[in-house]
Amino acid sequence: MPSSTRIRRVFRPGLGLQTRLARPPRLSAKETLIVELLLRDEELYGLQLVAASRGRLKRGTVYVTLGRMEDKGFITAREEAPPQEEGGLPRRVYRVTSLGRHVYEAWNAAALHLASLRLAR
Amino acid sequence: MMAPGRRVHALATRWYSERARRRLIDPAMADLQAEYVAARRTGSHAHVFGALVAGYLAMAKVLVIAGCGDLGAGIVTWQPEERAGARAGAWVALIVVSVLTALFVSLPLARLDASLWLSIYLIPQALPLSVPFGLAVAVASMLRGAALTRKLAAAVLVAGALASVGMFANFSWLIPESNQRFREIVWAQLDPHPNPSTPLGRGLNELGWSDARKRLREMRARADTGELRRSETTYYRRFAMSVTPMVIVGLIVAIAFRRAWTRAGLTSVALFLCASHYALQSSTWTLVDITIVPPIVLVWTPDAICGLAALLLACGSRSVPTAPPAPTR
Repeated sequence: MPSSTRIRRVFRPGLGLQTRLARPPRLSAKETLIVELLLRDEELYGLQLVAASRGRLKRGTVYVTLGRMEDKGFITAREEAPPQEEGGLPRRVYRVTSLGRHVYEAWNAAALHLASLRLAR
Repeated sequence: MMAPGRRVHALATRWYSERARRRLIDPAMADLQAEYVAARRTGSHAHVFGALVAGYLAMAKVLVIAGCGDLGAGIVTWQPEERAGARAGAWVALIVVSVLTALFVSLPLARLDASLWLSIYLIPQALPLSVPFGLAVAVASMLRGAALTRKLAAAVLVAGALASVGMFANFSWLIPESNQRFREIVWAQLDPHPNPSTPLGRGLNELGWSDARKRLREMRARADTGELRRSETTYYRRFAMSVTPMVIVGLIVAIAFRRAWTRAGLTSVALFLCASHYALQSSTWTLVDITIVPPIVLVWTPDAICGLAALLLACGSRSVPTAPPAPTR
């Protein structure tokens, strides 16, 4: 189970027992960008993500972010068939999960809500 | 056609966790290979070269990140055998160091007929001998069977390095002060009415680094060659003996990975190595008088031999067993 969906019960004085997520799901700027790109193109390789990000994602670190997102359950990966070259490794293709899509939508909605509150002030 | 990066991948297969390989290293390597193939299709050497440079730079970054991740995960996820081995090793080291220190301290005190509390001042002097022996026996007793893992070996090497740092501090501050205090107390017992205007002078072992260097400069100015060589030996020996715990531990770790040892076998080898190292280091006092080899070379020779042997053994060691990978979600 991804850590973002673990539930715990917390007692708050005056508020009683509350059920809340152990770690509310968060999307960093890079993770948001990756989800956006994957929602647009369905399935992408790491290098395609780097190219599509126009320099905002780096080749050396994109897989660290992708690995973290896999841990959180926001994306899934599958391996393609290995290439013809001797010793060639199969590429890993990523796509967004329904959890990732929902978190992205909720995150966007919250951001819009906060922005509207700020404008109202 | 041969895909590039096969050597790097073979290295990663040997040294990185399965999780880091699957998540980070293999996809980055696949990118490198795919870019290389695409660049070759263009027929431009510049494209091929650019693809390889960019790919290997990215791989280097990924390898560093994956290594740090593995190290971080490795620190918190110890197998039960590794934990038991580390605990047993720590106990063995503590016991052996304590027993040997007590032994080395009690021998000169028995001759002096001095009080027991005086032994406190001799403890720092005994540690450079007892700590390498203690660490060697501890490492030999723990690094075997299921506990013979890279992680435990790395932990042992870190412990050896820390012991060396501690030993350097011991030689820098503790030994000069405790030696001097011991000498003053014993001198006061021998001479009940000392002249307070002439305090007991410090020998080279009782001086800090800067004062010792100053003393050596004065000796060089006087051109007292015979005494100078012995004094230089004393001075450089303090540095060399600081490094000894790390070197001894490194050599025993390399030997432990060489073949399957019994506890008694590896302990015997460790004790033999320590004794040989100590004998070799003690022989510098004789060699410095009968040869023209610079004292710094003589003093560092035992450590250099052990370090070189450890490196040679480590480079040619058999494939080391690894702990089972942490379960993935």
